[in-house]
Amino acid sequence: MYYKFNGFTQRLVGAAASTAYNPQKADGLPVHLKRGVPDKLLYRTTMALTIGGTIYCLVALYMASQPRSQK
Amino acid sequence: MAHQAHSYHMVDPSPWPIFGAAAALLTTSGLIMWFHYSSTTLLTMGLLSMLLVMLQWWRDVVRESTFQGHHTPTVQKGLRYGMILFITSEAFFFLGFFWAFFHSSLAPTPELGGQWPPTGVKPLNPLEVPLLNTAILLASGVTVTWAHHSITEGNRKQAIHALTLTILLGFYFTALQAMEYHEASFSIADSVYGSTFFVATGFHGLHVIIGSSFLTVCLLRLIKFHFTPNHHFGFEAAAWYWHFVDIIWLFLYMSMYWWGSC
Repeated sequence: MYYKFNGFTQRLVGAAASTAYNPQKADGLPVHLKRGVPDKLLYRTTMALTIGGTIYCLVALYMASQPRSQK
Repeated sequence: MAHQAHSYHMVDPSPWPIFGAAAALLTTSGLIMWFHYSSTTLLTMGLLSMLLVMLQWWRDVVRESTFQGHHTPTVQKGLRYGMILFITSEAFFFLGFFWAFFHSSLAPTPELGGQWPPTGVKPLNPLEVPLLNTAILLASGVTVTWAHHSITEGNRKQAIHALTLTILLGFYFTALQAMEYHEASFSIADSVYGSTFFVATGFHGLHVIIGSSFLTVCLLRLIKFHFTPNHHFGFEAAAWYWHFVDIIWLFLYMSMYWWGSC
């Protein structure tokens, strides 16, 4: 939101609830991305953690399954 | 524009179920890496991703119900069945630990000195802090019922006060129990007495923390006007869970604290 000072009415633009996110807008976005940027950031963080972690996990389990080297 | 000709909720495609499964994999294999190789990286990743999935999945349920209106009476009925089945499964979970307790305490082995509590174990006095904890949880059951009645009667101020009081009582219980754990003269390693006591009361304490968190989320939603006098299932589910936690404590108190200390 910002102040619009040109023109006769000097008003605050974008502060009304109707200009904020509308959960029922038919924009094709699934509910987990409905708010836009903050949702996308959280989703990508979660995905990076889970998918990266799964790969790390598989590598760690592969290494753990190797027989211990003889002394 | 397509409209559904039924009262069910066909949810949007969601990544949280599979990410939740991955989080479970990371947490369990993280426990292995911690126990056997002293590494906590995987476990930390697992717990963090579990937290993120829970936050976003349940945030989406609130969006779908309160903000998008998908929770018809039919949908709510399904959620009621779901919560009741989940609590039933938790009851069976605790049943296992009670079984273990009675198995070991009804016929104590010679290694324990043939008695319960075993020789050398000084149990906690059931008439001290444990009795206070019982009173606290019983009182919290009253306050959560007061909150429910306030919601159905549309009394916002009383509902907020009653729910806040419930949560504070829950925190008080947790703090007292943590202090008891610290002060106890026996540990989890002290024979099967320690194992049964700390595993059962420990899991109960975890459920108190989970229940308190659920109630706290309900308080935030209550303050933000999410609930109506006729439609507030999230709160009801939290209240059911809280009563369940209270009942488990009563069984723990009567069996392990009281009968188990004589």
